[in-house]
Amino acid sequence: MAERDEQRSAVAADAAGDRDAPGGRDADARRSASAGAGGLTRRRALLTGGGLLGLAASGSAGYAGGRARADGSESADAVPFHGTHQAGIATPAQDRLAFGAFDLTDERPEALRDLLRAWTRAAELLCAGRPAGQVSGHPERPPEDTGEATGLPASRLTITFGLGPTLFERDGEDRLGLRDRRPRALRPLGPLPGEQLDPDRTGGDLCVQACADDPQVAFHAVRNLARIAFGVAALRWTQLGFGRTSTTSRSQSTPRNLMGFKDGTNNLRAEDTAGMDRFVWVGADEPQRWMRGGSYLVARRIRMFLETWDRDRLADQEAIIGRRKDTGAPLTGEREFDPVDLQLKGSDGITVILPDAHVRLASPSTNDGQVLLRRGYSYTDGIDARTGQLDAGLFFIAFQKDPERQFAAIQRRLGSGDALTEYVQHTGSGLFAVPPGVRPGGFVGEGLFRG
Amino acid sequence: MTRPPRRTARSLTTAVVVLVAASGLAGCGDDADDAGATVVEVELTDAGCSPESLQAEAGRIRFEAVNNGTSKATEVELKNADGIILGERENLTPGLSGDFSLQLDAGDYDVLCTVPGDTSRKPGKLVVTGAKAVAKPTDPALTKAVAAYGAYVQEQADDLVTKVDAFAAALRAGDTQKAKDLFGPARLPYERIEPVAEAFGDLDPKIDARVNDVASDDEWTGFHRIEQILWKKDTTTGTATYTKQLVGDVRTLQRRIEELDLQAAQLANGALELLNEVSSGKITGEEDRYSHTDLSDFRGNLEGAQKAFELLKPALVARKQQALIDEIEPRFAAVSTGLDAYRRDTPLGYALYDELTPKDRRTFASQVDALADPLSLVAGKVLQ
Repeated sequence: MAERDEQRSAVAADAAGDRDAPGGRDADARRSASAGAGGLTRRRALLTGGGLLGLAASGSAGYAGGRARADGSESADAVPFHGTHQAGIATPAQDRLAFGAFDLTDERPEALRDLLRAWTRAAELLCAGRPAGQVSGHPERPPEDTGEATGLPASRLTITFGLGPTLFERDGEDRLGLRDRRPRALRPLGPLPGEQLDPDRTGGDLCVQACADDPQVAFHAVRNLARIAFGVAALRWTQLGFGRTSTTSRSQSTPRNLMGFKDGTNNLRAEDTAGMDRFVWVGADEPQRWMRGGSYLVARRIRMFLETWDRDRLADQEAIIGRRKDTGAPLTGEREFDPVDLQLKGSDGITVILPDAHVRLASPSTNDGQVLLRRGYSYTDGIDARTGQLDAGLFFIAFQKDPERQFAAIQRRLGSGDALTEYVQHTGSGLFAVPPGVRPGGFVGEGLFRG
Repeated sequence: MTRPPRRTARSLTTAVVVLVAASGLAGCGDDADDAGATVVEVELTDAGCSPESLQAEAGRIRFEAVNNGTSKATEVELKNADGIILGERENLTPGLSGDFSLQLDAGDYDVLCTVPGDTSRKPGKLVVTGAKAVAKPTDPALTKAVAAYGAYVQEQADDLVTKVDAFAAALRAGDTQKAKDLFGPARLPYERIEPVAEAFGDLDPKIDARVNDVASDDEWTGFHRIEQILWKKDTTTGTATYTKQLVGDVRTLQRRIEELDLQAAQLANGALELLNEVSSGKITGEEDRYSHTDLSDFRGNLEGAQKAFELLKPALVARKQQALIDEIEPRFAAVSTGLDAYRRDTPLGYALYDELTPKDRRTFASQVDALADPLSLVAGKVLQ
């Protein structure tokens, strides 16, 4: 423990840069770092108390200047943080993901409110390509920002915050007195077919989805937000994603998932504003006003059994998916965007797209017209220690206005009938209400605490 | 069971999928446009279809029917040689037209222009030319393998019925311990032929679904439902309904297997699927999560796979694939030897899953993967 603290202070000294570090001061730094709990308390005070003022001040400079970077120059690849909806939903999918789910450790509603405010201020800075606080400041204090994104562009970073069902009620208990503020559709997902959920990869009171074109920028965001949360919320699980598996804009080409197939060809597109209003954004019919303009995020860690998939013959892989592997064309067409003809029969009287093909069971026409905005990423977490097989697959993320009618209904159909189920297993799960966007000066979820 | 309760249609229609892919390729050739589907036009007349004889190229075909004024024919049906209706349009009263699309292989089809209920009309003919259907294997080595495998499957299905009956008797007698003793052995014949059972769609989930395979709890029946009651509640109370259904379901399986027309591809792919079962279910202890009898199932899967492979060996030899055989055989032996170390003198015959050391679990997993990989090449080799 002491050794780690020493390393940490050494890193901090390096990051502080050009100052000379005489032995006496170094020893002093070491002493304060190894003060343990006391040191943590100080940092927390800094970040949620006095430090917050600093953040707020630099934050306002941040949006006044639009897309300012740490060095004062413009970051051309910044995505605006403020807006009607939170960014990171309709935003064209970035290449990388860092996702964190948190458990609340302080159950006072004012602590949650202060955290959401502090997170918002930090996110405003981070998304503008700036550090969340001072990178190098007082030599005797740890830097406010952890520093690894210094010098990197904004990389289209978006940070999307969500609130889990357990925030409003856990085991029948109204933990924070927020139960009557729970939005209608924020009900825990019941057991679903095809899942074998690991409690350590499931649930959470809060979530942070950070997407960027640079993995270090995305990770930096989650790491610094977790640091800000110390004492109020603690990370429950995290997930890194390395390749987007969905297209959320017509400007993007369809990527491939780890099964080697194009994924998300018929995904909802952000340009389809009518579709977004119908399927993604919570509308005026939601009694909880604070949630209008928001959405619901469903995250599923879907392990793919890649070893068995890879030895399946091509014709079967294509029959399971319902598309050609090379072109992505439906088996009833020639090109990727040809319509999927679920009725077309072959000479044997069986539909060309088989009854248990993934593309059929996932299609809107099989699911009462329901559509999701998918925004998932491929992941790999080394190997399954039990078997030595790859622990890799899809970290599925979808946005919708009603998880029960959209995600859960579709998954019930897929999990019990989809040919693909043989090769996948849902090992983690999260459901979060994503509040609407933030105006300058406001904070995420502020309507929750109003009146 | 495999994770998808349904391996169903796909397994049975393996040949069909190949056909579709082949005709697709032939069909697209130079016109890649979907609108380039061949259009076949037919008019409904008093006498039936006009013209009576139609022709088209294999591939995507759009069938357009028009009624210019007859009341003696108001619907059109297209049937394949087995009499299965592939497409139809009804209520084509005078002045109306309608169409439907299909993806057809080369062959002869019937076109019937008639009124509802009248099956006496002489049908017209549609002759589709082009890519020929893949002929069933006529290789004697394969025919023999298929026949021998059919006999093996039947034998296992018969054994399954016997063992399930004994298991059911213990359940009905309220003898919890005896039922527990007979659970694993009753599953063994099923595990040997599971991919064949999966070909019957709804049967595998009814017999072998795990709790997380079904959409809702009340759909959950079969071995594992009973297993849960036996081990979690330590009683036979509450098993009566499931016992009755299981006894019926394995009989249905036995009967359907008698009528089954096995394909050579099913042998090779079935062997692979059995190993995939081991790889994704037994090694992780997910299959028999209450009783921990997974290693017995493991043996069943392994034996079933080995049987199919042994029967295909002559066909592999005939195709000069000795090298592949030499690669596969020691790998079967390695898994089998490893499993032998867990044999026990108990009613189950094997140690419980809990006894499996993490190291052995890893070893088994890598051995099964090493075996399954070359095994996945067998189907392509014997069918080429």
